[in-house]
Amino acid sequence: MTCREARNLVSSYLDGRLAGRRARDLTQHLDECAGCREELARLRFIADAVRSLPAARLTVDLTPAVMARASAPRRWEWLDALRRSAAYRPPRVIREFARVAVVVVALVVVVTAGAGQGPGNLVASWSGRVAGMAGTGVAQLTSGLAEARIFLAERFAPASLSATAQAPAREHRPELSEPSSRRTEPEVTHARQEVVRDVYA
Amino acid sequence: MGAAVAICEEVGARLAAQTEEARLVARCRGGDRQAQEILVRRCQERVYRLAYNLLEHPEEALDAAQEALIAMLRSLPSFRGEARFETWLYRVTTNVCLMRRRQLCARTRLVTDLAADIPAARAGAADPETAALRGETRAAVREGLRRLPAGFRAVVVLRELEGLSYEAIAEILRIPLGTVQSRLSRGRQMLRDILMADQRVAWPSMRGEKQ
Repeated sequence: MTCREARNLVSSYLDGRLAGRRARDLTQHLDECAGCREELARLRFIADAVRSLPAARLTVDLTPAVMARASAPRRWEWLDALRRSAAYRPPRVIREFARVAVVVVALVVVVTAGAGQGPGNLVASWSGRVAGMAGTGVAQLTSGLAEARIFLAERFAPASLSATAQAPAREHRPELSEPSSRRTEPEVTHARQEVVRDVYA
Repeated sequence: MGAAVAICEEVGARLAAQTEEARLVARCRGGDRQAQEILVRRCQERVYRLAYNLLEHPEEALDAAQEALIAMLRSLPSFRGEARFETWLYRVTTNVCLMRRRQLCARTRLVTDLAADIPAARAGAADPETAALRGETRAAVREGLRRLPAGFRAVVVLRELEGLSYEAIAEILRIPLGTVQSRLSRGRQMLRDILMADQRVAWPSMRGEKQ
Protein backbone atom coordinates (compact mmCIF):
# COMPACT_ATOMS: atom_id res chain seq x y z
CA MET A 1 0.00 0.00 0.00
CA THR A 2 1.29 3.45 -0.90
CA CYS A 3 1.21 6.40 1.51
CA ARG A 4 -1.27 8.10 -0.81
CA GLU A 5 -3.74 5.22 -0.45
CA ALA A 6 -3.10 4.99 3.26
CA ARG A 7 -3.83 8.69 3.87
CA ASN A 8 -7.26 8.28 2.31
CA LEU A 9 -8.08 5.35 4.58
CA VAL A 10 -6.85 6.83 7.84
CA SER A 11 -10.12 8.70 8.46
CA SER A 12 -12.24 5.56 8.09
CA TYR A 13 -9.74 3.61 10.18
CA LEU A 14 -10.11 6.18 12.94
CA ASP A 15 -13.87 5.57 12.96
CA GLY A 16 -13.42 1.81 12.95
CA ARG A 17 -15.02 1.53 9.52
CA LEU A 18 -12.31 -0.48 7.83
CA ALA A 19 -12.60 -4.23 7.72
CA GLY A 20 -10.98 -7.23 6.10
CA ARG A 21 -8.12 -6.85 3.68
CA ARG A 22 -8.10 -3.06 3.61
CA ALA A 23 -7.77 -2.91 7.40
CA ARG A 24 -4.95 -5.48 7.35
CA ASP A 25 -3.12 -3.66 4.55
CA LEU A 26 -3.38 -0.36 6.38
CA THR A 27 -2.17 -1.66 9.74
CA GLN A 28 0.74 -3.29 7.97
CA HIS A 29 1.57 -0.01 6.24
CA LEU A 30 1.29 1.89 9.53
CA ASP A 31 3.76 -0.52 11.07
CA GLU A 32 6.28 0.35 8.38
CA CYS A 33 5.63 4.05 7.78
CA ALA A 34 6.36 6.66 10.45
CA GLY A 35 4.90 9.46 8.32
CA CYS A 36 1.48 7.81 8.10
CA ARG A 37 1.55 6.96 11.81
CA GLU A 38 2.09 10.63 12.46
CA GLU A 39 -0.81 11.52 10.18
CA LEU A 40 -3.04 9.11 12.11
CA ALA A 41 -1.92 10.64 15.42
CA ARG A 42 -2.62 14.13 14.11
CA LEU A 43 -6.11 13.28 12.90
CA ARG A 44 -6.83 11.51 16.18
CA PHE A 45 -5.69 14.57 18.10
CA ILE A 46 -7.93 16.79 15.98
CA ALA A 47 -10.93 14.48 16.40
CA ASP A 48 -10.41 14.52 20.18
CA ALA A 49 -9.98 18.29 20.19
CA VAL A 50 -13.19 18.81 18.25
CA ARG A 51 -15.06 16.39 20.49
CA SER A 52 -13.87 18.21 23.60
CA LEU A 53 -15.26 21.55 22.46
CA PRO A 54 -17.76 22.75 25.04
CA ALA A 55 -21.36 22.47 23.87
CA ALA A 56 -23.24 25.71 23.39
CA ARG A 57 -25.82 26.23 26.11
CA LEU A 58 -29.21 27.65 25.42
CA THR A 59 -29.85 30.46 27.89
CA VAL A 60 -33.41 31.31 26.92
CA ASP A 61 -36.54 29.23 26.58
CA LEU A 62 -37.55 29.29 22.92
CA THR A 63 -40.84 27.48 23.55
CA PRO A 64 -43.20 30.47 23.93
CA ALA A 65 -41.91 32.19 20.79
CA VAL A 66 -41.93 28.97 18.79
CA MET A 67 -45.47 28.04 19.86
CA ALA A 68 -46.72 31.54 19.06
CA ARG A 69 -45.07 31.65 15.66
CA ALA A 70 -46.01 28.09 14.75
CA SER A 71 -49.70 28.76 15.29
CA ALA A 72 -49.65 32.24 13.73
CA PRO A 73 -51.03 32.60 10.21
CA ARG A 74 -48.37 32.19 7.55
CA ARG A 75 -49.47 35.31 5.73
CA TRP A 76 -46.21 37.24 5.76
CA GLU A 77 -43.88 34.35 5.31
CA TRP A 78 -43.51 34.87 1.57
CA LEU A 79 -42.33 38.41 2.31
CA ASP A 80 -39.80 37.06 4.75
CA ALA A 81 -38.60 34.51 2.21
CA LEU A 82 -38.36 37.25 -0.42
CA ARG A 83 -36.31 39.42 1.91
CA ARG A 84 -33.96 36.57 2.64
CA SER A 85 -33.64 35.53 -0.99
CA ALA A 86 -32.69 39.11 -1.81
CA ALA A 87 -29.74 38.69 0.51
CA TYR A 88 -28.64 35.60 -1.37
CA ARG A 89 -25.82 36.05 -3.86
CA PRO A 90 -25.11 33.30 -6.35
CA PRO A 91 -21.51 32.02 -6.52
CA ARG A 92 -19.05 34.18 -8.39
CA VAL A 93 -18.81 31.79 -11.37
CA ILE A 94 -22.54 32.14 -12.03
CA ARG A 95 -22.46 35.92 -11.55
CA GLU A 96 -19.57 36.26 -14.02
CA PHE A 97 -21.28 33.95 -16.51
CA ALA A 98 -24.53 35.94 -16.31
CA ARG A 99 -22.62 39.16 -16.87
CA VAL A 100 -20.86 37.81 -19.97
CA ALA A 101 -24.11 36.32 -21.29
CA VAL A 102 -25.91 39.66 -21.06
CA VAL A 103 -23.12 41.44 -22.96
CA VAL A 104 -23.01 38.75 -25.68
CA VAL A 105 -26.78 38.81 -26.22
CA ALA A 106 -26.79 42.62 -26.37
CA LEU A 107 -23.94 42.58 -28.91
CA VAL A 108 -25.70 40.01 -31.11
CA VAL A 109 -28.90 42.06 -31.09
CA VAL A 110 -27.11 45.31 -31.95
CA VAL A 111 -24.91 43.82 -34.67
CA THR A 112 -27.68 41.87 -36.39
CA ALA A 113 -30.05 44.83 -36.19
CA GLY A 114 -27.51 46.79 -38.22
CA ALA A 115 -27.09 43.95 -40.70
CA GLY A 116 -30.86 43.62 -41.15
CA GLN A 117 -31.20 39.93 -40.24
CA GLY A 118 -31.33 37.48 -37.30
CA PRO A 119 -32.70 38.31 -33.82
CA GLY A 120 -31.75 41.98 -34.19
CA ASN A 121 -33.98 42.36 -37.22
CA LEU A 122 -36.74 40.66 -35.23
CA VAL A 123 -36.41 43.24 -32.47
CA ALA A 124 -36.38 46.07 -35.01
CA SER A 125 -39.50 44.85 -36.81
CA TRP A 126 -41.34 44.21 -33.54
CA SER A 127 -40.65 47.66 -32.21
CA GLY A 128 -41.92 49.03 -35.52
CA ARG A 129 -45.16 47.07 -35.18
CA VAL A 130 -45.66 48.18 -31.57
CA ALA A 131 -45.14 51.82 -32.54
CA GLY A 132 -47.63 51.48 -35.42
CA MET A 133 -50.16 49.89 -33.11
CA ALA A 134 -49.98 52.65 -30.53
CA GLY A 135 -51.66 55.08 -32.93
CA THR A 136 -54.51 52.85 -34.08
CA GLY A 137 -54.80 51.14 -30.68
CA VAL A 138 -56.52 54.15 -29.06
CA ALA A 139 -59.30 54.12 -31.62
CA GLN A 140 -59.66 50.36 -31.39
CA LEU A 141 -60.08 50.45 -27.60
CA THR A 142 -63.39 52.30 -27.96
CA SER A 143 -64.83 49.50 -30.08
CA GLY A 144 -64.52 47.05 -27.23
CA LEU A 145 -62.24 44.36 -25.93
CA ALA A 146 -63.43 41.64 -28.29
CA GLU A 147 -62.66 43.69 -31.35
CA ALA A 148 -59.29 44.66 -29.96
CA ARG A 149 -58.46 41.02 -29.50
CA ILE A 150 -59.39 40.24 -33.10
CA PHE A 151 -57.31 43.19 -34.20
CA LEU A 152 -54.32 41.97 -32.22
CA ALA A 153 -54.71 38.48 -33.62
CA GLU A 154 -54.82 39.85 -37.16
CA ARG A 155 -51.87 42.12 -36.63
CA PHE A 156 -49.69 39.57 -34.92
CA ALA A 157 -50.52 36.34 -36.71
CA PRO A 158 -48.06 36.97 -39.57
CA ALA A 159 -45.47 38.32 -37.15
CA SER A 160 -45.55 35.23 -34.97
CA LEU A 161 -45.20 33.03 -38.08
CA SER A 162 -42.03 34.79 -39.10
CA ALA A 163 -40.86 34.87 -35.47
CA THR A 164 -41.09 31.10 -35.04
CA ALA A 165 -39.05 30.69 -38.20
CA GLN A 166 -36.29 32.82 -36.78
CA ALA A 167 -36.55 32.17 -33.06
CA PRO A 168 -38.11 28.79 -32.22
CA ALA A 169 -37.28 29.41 -28.56
CA ARG A 170 -40.51 31.37 -28.15
CA GLU A 171 -42.50 28.15 -28.04
CA HIS A 172 -40.84 27.09 -24.80
CA ARG A 173 -42.28 29.91 -22.76
CA PRO A 174 -45.22 28.10 -21.14
CA GLU A 175 -42.90 25.33 -19.97
CA LEU A 176 -40.57 27.81 -18.34
CA SER A 177 -43.15 29.01 -15.84
CA GLU A 178 -44.14 25.53 -14.77
CA PRO A 179 -41.37 24.43 -12.34
CA SER A 180 -41.59 27.62 -10.29
CA SER A 181 -44.70 26.33 -8.53
CA ARG A 182 -42.73 23.31 -7.43
CA ARG A 183 -39.76 25.34 -6.29
CA THR A 184 -41.71 27.18 -3.59
CA GLU A 185 -42.43 23.97 -1.70
CA PRO A 186 -40.29 23.77 1.43
CA GLU A 187 -37.76 20.97 1.29
CA VAL A 188 -38.93 19.57 4.56
CA THR A 189 -42.33 18.44 3.31
CA HIS A 190 -41.04 15.74 1.01
CA ALA A 191 -38.84 14.31 3.68
CA ARG A 192 -37.79 10.85 2.66
CA GLN A 193 -38.29 8.52 5.53
CA GLU A 194 -36.36 5.34 5.52
CA VAL A 195 -35.53 2.97 8.29
CA VAL A 196 -32.03 3.76 9.43
CA ARG A 197 -30.87 0.43 10.72
CA ASP A 198 -27.61 1.50 12.15
CA VAL A 199 -29.13 4.20 14.31
CA TYR A 200 -30.59 1.56 16.59
CA ALA A 201 -27.21 -0.03 17.00
CA MET B 1 -29.59 -15.66 10.03
CA GLY B 2 -31.70 -13.23 8.04
CA ALA B 3 -34.74 -14.18 10.08
CA ALA B 4 -32.85 -13.57 13.33
CA VAL B 5 -31.76 -10.14 12.12
CA ALA B 6 -35.33 -9.37 11.12
CA ILE B 7 -36.62 -10.41 14.56
CA CYS B 8 -33.95 -8.32 16.28
CA GLU B 9 -34.87 -5.35 14.14
CA GLU B 10 -38.54 -5.82 14.89
CA VAL B 11 -37.90 -6.01 18.62
CA GLY B 12 -35.66 -2.96 18.39
CA ALA B 13 -38.29 -1.05 16.46
CA ARG B 14 -40.99 -2.06 18.95
CA LEU B 15 -38.84 -0.93 21.85
CA ALA B 16 -38.15 2.36 20.09
CA ALA B 17 -41.86 2.82 19.46
CA GLN B 18 -42.50 2.35 23.15
CA THR B 19 -40.17 5.11 24.17
CA GLU B 20 -41.71 8.18 25.59
CA GLU B 21 -40.45 10.37 22.78
CA ALA B 22 -42.23 8.28 20.18
CA ARG B 23 -45.48 8.48 22.12
CA LEU B 24 -45.02 12.20 22.54
CA VAL B 25 -44.44 12.61 18.81
CA ALA B 26 -47.59 10.62 18.11
CA ARG B 27 -49.59 12.93 20.37
CA CYS B 28 -48.12 15.98 18.63
CA ARG B 29 -49.10 14.61 15.25
CA GLY B 30 -52.62 14.38 16.55
CA GLY B 31 -52.54 18.14 17.13
CA ASP B 32 -52.16 18.04 20.93
CA ARG B 33 -50.87 21.53 21.72
CA GLN B 34 -49.66 20.63 25.17
CA ALA B 35 -47.64 17.73 23.77
CA GLN B 36 -46.17 20.01 21.12
CA GLU B 37 -45.04 22.40 23.81
CA ILE B 38 -43.35 19.59 25.72
CA LEU B 39 -41.67 18.35 22.55
CA VAL B 40 -40.35 21.80 21.66
CA ARG B 41 -39.04 22.30 25.19
CA ARG B 42 -37.36 18.92 25.04
CA CYS B 43 -35.80 19.42 21.59
CA GLN B 44 -34.68 23.01 21.81
CA GLU B 45 -31.34 22.32 23.51
CA ARG B 46 -30.33 19.72 20.90
CA VAL B 47 -31.52 21.87 18.02
CA TYR B 48 -29.70 24.95 19.31
CA ARG B 49 -26.49 23.04 19.90
CA LEU B 50 -26.46 21.71 16.35
CA ALA B 51 -27.41 25.11 14.94
CA TYR B 52 -24.59 26.74 16.88
CA ASN B 53 -22.07 24.20 15.67
CA LEU B 54 -23.18 24.56 12.08
CA LEU B 55 -23.45 28.35 12.05
CA GLU B 56 -20.87 29.36 14.67
CA HIS B 57 -22.79 32.53 15.39
CA PRO B 58 -24.86 32.80 18.62
CA GLU B 59 -27.68 35.08 17.39
CA GLU B 60 -27.94 33.41 14.03
CA ALA B 61 -28.08 30.04 15.80
CA LEU B 62 -30.90 31.29 18.02
CA ASP B 63 -32.93 32.41 14.99
CA ALA B 64 -32.13 29.19 13.14
CA ALA B 65 -33.13 27.08 16.16
CA GLN B 66 -36.50 28.82 16.33
CA GLU B 67 -37.03 28.41 12.63
CA ALA B 68 -36.07 24.74 12.79
CA LEU B 69 -38.44 24.07 15.72
CA ILE B 70 -41.29 25.74 13.85
CA ALA B 71 -40.44 23.73 10.74
CA MET B 72 -40.42 20.62 12.92
CA LEU B 73 -43.92 21.30 14.27
CA ARG B 74 -45.29 22.10 10.85
CA SER B 75 -43.81 19.11 9.09
CA LEU B 76 -44.61 16.59 11.82
CA PRO B 77 -47.57 15.33 9.74
CA SER B 78 -45.08 14.19 7.09
CA PHE B 79 -43.02 12.30 9.66
CA ARG B 80 -44.32 8.77 9.58
CA GLY B 81 -42.00 7.31 12.14
CA GLU B 82 -40.02 5.25 9.63
CA ALA B 83 -36.76 6.99 10.47
CA ARG B 84 -35.80 7.68 14.03
CA PHE B 85 -37.27 10.92 15.28
CA GLU B 86 -33.90 12.33 16.25
CA THR B 87 -32.44 11.67 12.79
CA TRP B 88 -35.40 13.41 11.25
CA LEU B 89 -35.11 16.34 13.65
CA TYR B 90 -31.42 16.71 12.80
CA ARG B 91 -32.34 16.74 9.13
CA VAL B 92 -34.89 19.49 9.53
CA THR B 93 -32.40 21.51 11.60
CA THR B 94 -29.50 20.91 9.21
CA ASN B 95 -31.60 21.99 6.23
CA VAL B 96 -32.59 25.23 7.94
CA CYS B 97 -29.01 25.93 9.03
CA LEU B 98 -27.34 25.20 5.71
CA MET B 99 -29.86 27.44 3.96
CA ARG B 100 -29.18 30.20 6.48
CA ARG B 101 -25.45 29.69 6.32
CA ARG B 102 -25.52 30.22 2.57
CA GLN B 103 -27.30 33.53 3.09
CA LEU B 104 -25.12 34.47 6.03
CA CYS B 105 -21.97 33.80 3.99
CA ALA B 106 -23.23 35.99 1.19
CA ARG B 107 -23.80 38.84 3.62
CA THR B 108 -20.71 38.51 5.76
CA ARG B 109 -18.10 37.18 3.36
CA LEU B 110 -16.09 40.36 3.67
CA VAL B 111 -16.22 40.39 7.46
CA THR B 112 -15.03 36.78 7.88
CA ASP B 113 -12.31 37.29 5.29
CA LEU B 114 -11.02 40.22 7.29
CA ALA B 115 -11.27 38.28 10.55
CA ALA B 116 -9.22 35.45 9.04
CA ASP B 117 -6.45 37.91 8.24
CA ILE B 118 -6.01 39.01 11.83
CA PRO B 119 -2.85 37.23 12.96
CA ALA B 120 -3.57 34.43 15.38
CA ALA B 121 -2.54 35.07 18.95
CA ARG B 122 0.83 33.54 19.58
CA ALA B 123 1.07 31.06 22.42
CA GLY B 124 4.16 31.33 24.53
CA ALA B 125 6.42 28.35 25.21
CA ALA B 126 4.36 27.41 28.25
CA ASP B 127 3.70 24.04 29.79
CA PRO B 128 1.49 22.20 27.27
CA GLU B 129 -0.69 21.01 30.14
CA THR B 130 -1.79 24.46 31.24
CA ALA B 131 -5.44 25.24 30.88
CA ALA B 132 -4.66 28.48 29.06
CA LEU B 133 -2.90 26.66 26.27
CA ARG B 134 -5.64 24.10 26.01
CA GLY B 135 -8.01 27.04 25.71
CA GLU B 136 -5.90 28.42 22.89
CA THR B 137 -6.03 25.11 21.05
CA ARG B 138 -9.75 25.05 21.54
CA ALA B 139 -10.17 28.52 20.09
CA ALA B 140 -8.04 27.52 17.12
CA VAL B 141 -10.12 24.39 16.57
CA ARG B 142 -13.36 26.39 16.68
CA GLU B 143 -11.99 28.86 14.18
CA GLY B 144 -10.70 26.04 11.98
CA LEU B 145 -14.14 24.44 11.96
CA ARG B 146 -15.67 27.76 10.97
CA ARG B 147 -13.36 28.00 8.01
CA LEU B 148 -14.32 24.61 6.57
CA PRO B 149 -16.63 24.74 3.54
CA ALA B 150 -20.28 24.16 4.56
CA GLY B 151 -20.61 20.62 3.20
CA PHE B 152 -17.46 19.38 4.92
CA ARG B 153 -18.20 21.23 8.10
CA ALA B 154 -21.65 19.66 8.35
CA VAL B 155 -20.20 16.15 8.06
CA VAL B 156 -17.45 16.82 10.62
CA VAL B 157 -19.89 18.44 13.08
CA LEU B 158 -22.44 15.63 12.79
CA ARG B 159 -19.73 13.01 13.23
CA GLU B 160 -17.56 14.51 15.98
CA LEU B 161 -19.90 16.80 17.89
CA GLU B 162 -23.13 14.85 17.52
CA GLY B 163 -21.44 11.45 17.46
CA LEU B 164 -23.66 10.13 14.66
CA SER B 165 -23.02 7.05 12.54
CA TYR B 166 -22.08 7.35 8.87
CA GLU B 167 -25.52 5.95 8.00
CA ALA B 168 -27.35 8.59 10.04
CA ILE B 169 -25.24 11.37 8.48
CA ALA B 170 -26.00 10.06 4.99
CA GLU B 171 -29.70 10.08 5.85
CA ILE B 172 -29.60 13.58 7.35
CA LEU B 173 -27.65 15.20 4.52
CA ARG B 174 -29.20 12.96 1.85
CA ILE B 175 -25.85 11.98 0.41
CA PRO B 176 -24.47 8.52 -0.39
CA LEU B 177 -22.52 6.65 2.29
CA GLY B 178 -19.35 6.85 0.17
CA THR B 179 -19.69 10.63 0.08
CA VAL B 180 -19.95 10.78 3.87
CA GLN B 181 -16.73 8.81 4.11
CA SER B 182 -14.83 10.87 1.52
CA ARG B 183 -16.07 14.23 2.83
CA LEU B 184 -15.15 13.27 6.36
CA SER B 185 -11.68 12.23 5.23
CA ARG B 186 -11.20 15.39 3.17
CA GLY B 187 -12.74 17.61 5.86
CA ARG B 188 -10.38 16.24 8.50
CA GLN B 189 -7.41 16.78 6.19
CA MET B 190 -8.50 20.37 5.54
CA LEU B 191 -8.88 20.95 9.26
CA ARG B 192 -5.42 19.45 9.81
CA ASP B 193 -3.95 21.85 7.23
CA ILE B 194 -5.66 24.84 8.86
CA LEU B 195 -4.55 23.84 12.36
CA MET B 196 -0.98 23.05 11.34
CA ALA B 197 -0.68 26.61 10.09
CA ASP B 198 -2.05 27.91 13.41
CA GLN B 199 0.59 28.69 16.02
CA ARG B 200 -1.87 28.37 18.89
CA VAL B 201 -2.35 24.62 18.53
CA ALA B 202 -0.40 22.62 21.11
CA TRP B 203 0.31 19.43 19.20
CA PRO B 204 1.21 16.43 21.30
CA SER B 205 4.78 15.31 20.77
CA MET B 206 4.76 12.71 18.02
CA ARG B 207 7.82 10.94 16.78
CA GLY B 208 5.82 8.43 14.77
CA GLU B 209 5.92 5.94 17.63
CA LYS B 210 4.17 2.66 16.94
CA GLN B 211 0.61 2.34 18.18
